[in-house]
Amino acid sequence: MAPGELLTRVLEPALSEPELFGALHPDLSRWFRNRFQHFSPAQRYAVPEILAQRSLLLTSPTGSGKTLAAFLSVFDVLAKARETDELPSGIVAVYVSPLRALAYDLRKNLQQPAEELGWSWLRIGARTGDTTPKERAAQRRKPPHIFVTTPESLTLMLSQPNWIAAFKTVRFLIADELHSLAENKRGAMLMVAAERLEEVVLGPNPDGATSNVHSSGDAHSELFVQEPRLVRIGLSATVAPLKTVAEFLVGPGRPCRIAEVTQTKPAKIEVFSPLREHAYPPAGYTATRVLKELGALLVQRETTLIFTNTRSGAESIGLRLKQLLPELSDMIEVHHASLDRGVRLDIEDRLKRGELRAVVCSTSLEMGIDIGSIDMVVMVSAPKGVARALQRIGRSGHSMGRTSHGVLVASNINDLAECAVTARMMVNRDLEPVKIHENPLDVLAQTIVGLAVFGSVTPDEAFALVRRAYSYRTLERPMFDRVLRYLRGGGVSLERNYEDLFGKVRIDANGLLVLPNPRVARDFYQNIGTINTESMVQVRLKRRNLGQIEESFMKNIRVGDVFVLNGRTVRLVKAHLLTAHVVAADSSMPTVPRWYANKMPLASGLAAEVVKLRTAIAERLGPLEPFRPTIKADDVAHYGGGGSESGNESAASSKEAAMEFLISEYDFSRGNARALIEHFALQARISTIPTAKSLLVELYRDGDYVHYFFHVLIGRSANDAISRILAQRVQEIKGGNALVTIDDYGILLSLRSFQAMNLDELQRLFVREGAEDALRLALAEASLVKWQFRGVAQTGLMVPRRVRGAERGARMLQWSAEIIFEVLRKHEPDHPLLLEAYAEATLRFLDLPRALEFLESAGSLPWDFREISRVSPFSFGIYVSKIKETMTLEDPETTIERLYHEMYGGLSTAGTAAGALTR
Amino acid sequence: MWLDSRLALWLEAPRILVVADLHWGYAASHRAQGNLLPAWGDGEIAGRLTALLQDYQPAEMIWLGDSLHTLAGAQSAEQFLSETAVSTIIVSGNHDARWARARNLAEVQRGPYLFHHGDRARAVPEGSSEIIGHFHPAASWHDGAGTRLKLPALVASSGRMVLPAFSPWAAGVPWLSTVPGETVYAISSKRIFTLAYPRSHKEA
Repeated sequence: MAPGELLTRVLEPALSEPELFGALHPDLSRWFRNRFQHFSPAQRYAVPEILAQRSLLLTSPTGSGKTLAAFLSVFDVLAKARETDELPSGIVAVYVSPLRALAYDLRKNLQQPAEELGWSWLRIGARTGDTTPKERAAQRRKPPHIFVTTPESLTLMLSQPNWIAAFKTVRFLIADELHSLAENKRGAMLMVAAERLEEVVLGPNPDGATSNVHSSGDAHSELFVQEPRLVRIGLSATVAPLKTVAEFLVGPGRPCRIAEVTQTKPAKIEVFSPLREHAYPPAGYTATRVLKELGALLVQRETTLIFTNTRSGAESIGLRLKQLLPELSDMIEVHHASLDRGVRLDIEDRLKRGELRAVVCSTSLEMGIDIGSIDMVVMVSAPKGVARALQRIGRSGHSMGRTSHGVLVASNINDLAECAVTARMMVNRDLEPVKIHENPLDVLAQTIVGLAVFGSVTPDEAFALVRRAYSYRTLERPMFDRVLRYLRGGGVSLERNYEDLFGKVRIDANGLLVLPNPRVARDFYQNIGTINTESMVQVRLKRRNLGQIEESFMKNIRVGDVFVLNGRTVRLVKAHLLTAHVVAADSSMPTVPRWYANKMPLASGLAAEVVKLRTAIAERLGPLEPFRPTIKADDVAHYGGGGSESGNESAASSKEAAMEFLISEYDFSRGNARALIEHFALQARISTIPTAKSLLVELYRDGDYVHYFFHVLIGRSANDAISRILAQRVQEIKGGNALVTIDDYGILLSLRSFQAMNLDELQRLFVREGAEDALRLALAEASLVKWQFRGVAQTGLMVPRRVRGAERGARMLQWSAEIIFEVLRKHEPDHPLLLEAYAEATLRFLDLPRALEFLESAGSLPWDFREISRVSPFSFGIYVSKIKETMTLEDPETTIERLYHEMYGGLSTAGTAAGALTR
Repeated sequence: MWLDSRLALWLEAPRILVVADLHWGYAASHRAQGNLLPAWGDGEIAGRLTALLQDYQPAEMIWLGDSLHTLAGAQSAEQFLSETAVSTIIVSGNHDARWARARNLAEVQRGPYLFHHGDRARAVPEGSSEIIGHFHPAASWHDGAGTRLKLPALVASSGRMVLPAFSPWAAGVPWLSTVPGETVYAISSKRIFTLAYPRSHKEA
């Protein structure tokens, strides 16, 4: 069967509302009617499908009743089974969530209907890494009917023989927040666990993927308990493409229904920029305006949730808001992953109880637990992805029938274009496709060990099992065998006599995968999982745990340095290996304003839309009078106001046309439209506007340096891949090192004069052929792969994180990156874990596929190569980003603003200063 | 006195070859603990030692302690010793204190040199200097733009010489000198670089 026939849309609810009420168990029906009166659209679409025992991917906005849609059928089956005395003693439904907190929250949320229904017989249990041994033992003796867990805990239990009996009665597997699982290795892990669950429920499945397609069509089968069948339900707020995710959920070759219920409640999305008419305001202007506006909004609202993209951003905005609104300062909190867990949970609880007016977070509250009623979601700086933006905005009005209200705050002129494009794509639900990890070999290693615990499958059967999971559908047997050989203690110099002693698995006389000794199982149980966090240093203020910071950040600060954590300005007084002692330094200026936090790369769809916007504006602006630097550079006064082109009426009218376009198509305010058009016009006059039709390369000479700006708008991670290829090739062509800087919008190649290149040579840097080899050579000496290897070696069980119950020191794990990596590279360059680390680096950290795609097109694109007398406005951001990395005292955004202002402030023909300050 | 880039010290007059921190059985020890390292390293040690013995034809060889990583390395070490004709003095280290061949010899004196592992301070006779291992010294450089280089090193001052670890698994620990007049010899396979502290790069 073609996949198209297996994955089908639910075009309309299969049952009318009365029919649906009638289909549910009377108790449940009555309870639901009293509690909610009506089914939500998501429930209308989804419940009949699940009642008919069909696997289903349900995607609908946050707060649309997804979770209940999944559990209504579970409750129904449980109630009916109980009536006919068929209620199994084992687990009936497994609910998997990526977040522990979500798991606890859900258990509480399910307990409530169970109590209202008076179903005291219903057992609901949660199992995560935090569950105590006593609770675990109780759960095993008397398994809950509904089992709430995480991918790691599910995998762990499915690897323990004494748990298997409890899983034989499972009929539902519910995966929540599926989008976040699909994008990482935990998803691969969960789906392999699902295949094992399938075997436990249905018995061994020697024929592979298609043996249980009988669940399609047979809609009226009520014989739930007699005819075992595992219904998989995937829940997700924002995900695309649906067919891929559905196939990921059920595995290739199996049927799945897809229900997409789009926004029924209106969402209000606004773009706000403090720039007004000024593209290049004076330093500090934006930050002050943003804060003032934020303060004003916050006072009008009950509860505001503010997302910044970085932890340091969350800290600094939180701190400044508190200073700005001293009367509300106790009701403004900061939330991010570095905070102490206790502090975080406390903030979440207060948020839920409605005691807070604002929470400023990095990305930590993007998904998960119901955080109560949020009036408004503010995103400071562009969110870099449409799905992420929608996910964030869904946090407001987080209950049925309420309006989501989101504000995108553009903090500088480049951000403004990006925010406008994001807002439009959000309205159109133009989501970026998920990137599913293909064949993660470290998770495969864990899976093989997990199967060997049972001593019941051959390598052939294990291979067939993993291939049924979507992530491994293309896995080739030789690769599987290499992972197996690694686990057997082999590798290139397999020494038979050591194998029994030192391997993780071996193949016994009957050809079955078994463990060489029970200790391997114990070590394995402690190391299931794929999350490799950097080791964190606990920060203590007197006796209180303030939060945690990354070890790598700690290494770069010295005693006496002042930094901000958890909204407190603190001074480091003493640093130990795992703890740091600080004292309050409330009145001091931070000396270390930022620390490492993931910088999120721009999603590809968004990048393409920004290019479209640039192209559209360039067309409307038409040719503008080139900027001629005939006046001394420091004599900026001559350029002030609209003087330099007041006579140019056609320019004025084309600008007006471009502004109208922004206002009508992108919902810009007039002030913002003017600022953006000024920015574009200045770019057009100094250089030209880069569009989709050519590749703009600007050459700028600065002393002994030659800077080349390549306007490659494909996102930072793809640009990162290209930049490494360029650096490698510069070295081959010209010799010497090349300094390459990247951002989402382009690549800056800085060379010494002796390395200067002509157009022909530059084009050679961008040749598609041999790009992979150049990158491989470049990465050989870079620490990137080594860094990735550290995580892969832990997940792949080469250097277990925990041994005999004890967490191992960071030094031990650090060492893994350092030496094993070198030894493997020399000794066994095709070791599966080394390949995995390389894949991790090139496919996930760097976006090699997208980089290659660009190189492919660069050859046929005309190159617009021009020398410019000053750095063009579009190149400025990347030009100053080096400053951003090294500065200390000033807020980086402010510094960039100052530089922008100094560079172009006098050049642009903006409105009057007075006009700029009013809305 | 010569420093060989294969991480050995050659005392020409008494014809003594000195190596430190061989850590035989490093991979095997880790594998026994559950770290699935490639079974590699001991062959490398044996190969490098054999080549050194052939090139220098020493009268005597000294292993400066930590010859074994754990007792799991005894088999490989014994195997090597049984095949070599050169008399080998094995000083004990903190890793191999339980190995019968090593445990009884904490130090040995040859001419003006006192050889010991270096994990514990020992009295050095008047007019002698000590030659030790234990610290796995290395020299490291950063260019500030992401490139990092670390090389094993020999650290010498007037009264003391610290040998680099011979083990191919040893990454080395950057030597942060506090003693004035100390010289660090960073060892790459083709060249040895002399570094004086405070640091200025100079070739040997």
